[in-house]
Amino acid sequence: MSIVELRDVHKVYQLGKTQVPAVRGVSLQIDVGDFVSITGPSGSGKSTILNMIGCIDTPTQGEVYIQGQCTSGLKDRQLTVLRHRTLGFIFQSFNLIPVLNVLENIEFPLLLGKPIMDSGAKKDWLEYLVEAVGLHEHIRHRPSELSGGQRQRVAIARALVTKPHIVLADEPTANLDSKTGQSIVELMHKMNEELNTTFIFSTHDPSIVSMAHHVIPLLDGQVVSQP
Amino acid sequence: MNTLIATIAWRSLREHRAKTVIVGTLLAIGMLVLVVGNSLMDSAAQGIERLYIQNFTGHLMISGAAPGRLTMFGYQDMTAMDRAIPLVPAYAELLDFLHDQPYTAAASPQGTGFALAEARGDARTPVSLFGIEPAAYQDAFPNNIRLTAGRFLEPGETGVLLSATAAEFLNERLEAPLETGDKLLLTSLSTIGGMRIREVPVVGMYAFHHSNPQLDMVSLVDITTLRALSGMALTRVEPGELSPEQQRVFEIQEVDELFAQTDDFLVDVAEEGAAGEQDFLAILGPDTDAESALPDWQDPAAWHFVLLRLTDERYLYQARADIDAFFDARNVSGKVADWRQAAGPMADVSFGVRWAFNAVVLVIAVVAVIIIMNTLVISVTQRLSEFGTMRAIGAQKGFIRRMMLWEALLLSVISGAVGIAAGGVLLTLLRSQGIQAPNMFFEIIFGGSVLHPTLSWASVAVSLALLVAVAVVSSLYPTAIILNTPPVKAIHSE
Repeated sequence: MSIVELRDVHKVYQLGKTQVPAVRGVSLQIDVGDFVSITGPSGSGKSTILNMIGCIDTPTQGEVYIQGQCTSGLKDRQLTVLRHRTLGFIFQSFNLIPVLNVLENIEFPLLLGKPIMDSGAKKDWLEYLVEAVGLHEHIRHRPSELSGGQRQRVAIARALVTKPHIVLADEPTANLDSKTGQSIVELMHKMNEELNTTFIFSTHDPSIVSMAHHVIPLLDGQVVSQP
Repeated sequence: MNTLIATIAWRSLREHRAKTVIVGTLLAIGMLVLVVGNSLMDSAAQGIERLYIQNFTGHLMISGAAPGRLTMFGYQDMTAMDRAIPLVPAYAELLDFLHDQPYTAAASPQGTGFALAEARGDARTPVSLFGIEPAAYQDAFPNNIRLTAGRFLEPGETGVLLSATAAEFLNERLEAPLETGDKLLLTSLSTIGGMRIREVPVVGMYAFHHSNPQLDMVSLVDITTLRALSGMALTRVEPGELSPEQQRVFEIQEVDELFAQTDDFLVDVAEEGAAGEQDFLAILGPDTDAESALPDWQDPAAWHFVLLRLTDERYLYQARADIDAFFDARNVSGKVADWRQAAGPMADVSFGVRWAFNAVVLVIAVVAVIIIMNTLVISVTQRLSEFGTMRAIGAQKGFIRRMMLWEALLLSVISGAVGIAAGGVLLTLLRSQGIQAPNMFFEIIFGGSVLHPTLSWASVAVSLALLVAVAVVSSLYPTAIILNTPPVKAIHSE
């Protein structure tokens, strides 16, 4: 059963008077619990596709379905709720909130919107995540006091804290050394298997691509071949 | 969620110290200026209010109802010469009523008018006149004047207590200075009452302890003289009894017939010699003094105002309501005005200065908003990625708005507290030293020669509210920048 579906999606950016096509007629389906890598060189449209799946960008043409729901036509408030409840994000630059410590950063999405679990369950869940990403000794540290790998681990825990169905990771290892990058993808894989959360991540690192269940290769905004 | 917002707001302020210090310092200085400025204005306003109530107007001025701006100096508009000041209706009853009220400390009736004072036929000066009942006036406003010559008016005495300023004007044109006992010729002129002249002795000269240019020109005169000068003498018109001969004159149609018989109207004079002073006196009738003549044609209840002093200011509203009810019950048109309406334009000067100060504050507030907004825009631009991330992971726009609002409120309240503390210290110093009024203008504003300002909590509240408003308004545009930036763009901004 597909949890994400793109139907003939186009994305054109307007740069002054010039129209730059970033995605050109991409159609794809991703199943529940999949561990998918979107690969391709820089400018192939990886991030654009992830942004449209993540509902932080909209297609110029075509439709994006998340859990069978078409996202085009949804209002900002509805898209925000969808992002909060269904999607988790891991960014290349970690994008942690600098004034919050590790635990607060992980907990942050839980404090937005209506509570999704009671306080006891929340405490247990946070402890599990902190333990899973191996940061129990750093929960009071601010992001500026952590290494790149540790920051990305916090980002992974934060992305999973609302128990989303889909986690999107845009080049999660780009700012890390290869060893740390490898461990981050292994952690993502572990969480994918333990929680059956669908992971979609973009990368152009072949060693990381090899860990994916499925690969979506892109070139010039088009899927080269279906996985 | 609010705890989270407050936490992020507080830590963000600490994290971005440079911005916080710049904006915070601006806000603190703004608060200092507002608190000190408003406290000075409040202290001055209280001073001038106290001054007028205790010395000139009382708490309330009761008069007849009249359109236009009626003050204790008369009408303060272009119609002053064209209409009479209404008399206090049901005066005698009103006075009894007021004296029966427990909140009445004193009630002094008063009349007002203008005249040209002439001394020894050589010197003239315009004077403003307050017609008073000496005992009641001194009871209501004890020790408000300093006698420079002579004495105060005695009850029932005809005379004028000349202001020292008016005396100075006259003395400049006289060979020898004016003295008590000298006669002043007072001439009043109005389009409704025509010209009236009265000669009154100067019983004394004085200056108010606290004065201003308008009060400097006020001389106190017995009410009988003022009534005569102001046309308050005739209070009612009754049909007269005409003799048949007089009646016949009004029935004459032809001009020639008017002069056909003159014997009835001409008065016999001595057949021998030219007509002399005695003949004219005979025409005028027997000599009368004011005391004996006035009761026949003056109404002792004719007063322009009753100035009421209360035992305590908290009875102000009750007193106004009671007096209004008094007039309503008698179906007469009376009016109750507060001290400020009674005091006239000079009291307005200090309030005008306050408005000017408020205008300056408004300009400062606008400038502050612009500066703070610019600083916040820079700060927000630096943090755009942070806000974009929040939006991406599920923060609604309302969350961002509240977060920015919290930051603005925290910053303004903390800066405001610093400004209030600094303002309090400065005001304490100013109070201990006292601010000397350098000239008459500032004396009017200060309500005296020295101002001892106190911290006005009302001004603190108003200033803090203004400061918070400035901070909140300043944060609106930066907030709009965040909310109008799509999350995908915000996330990747540097």
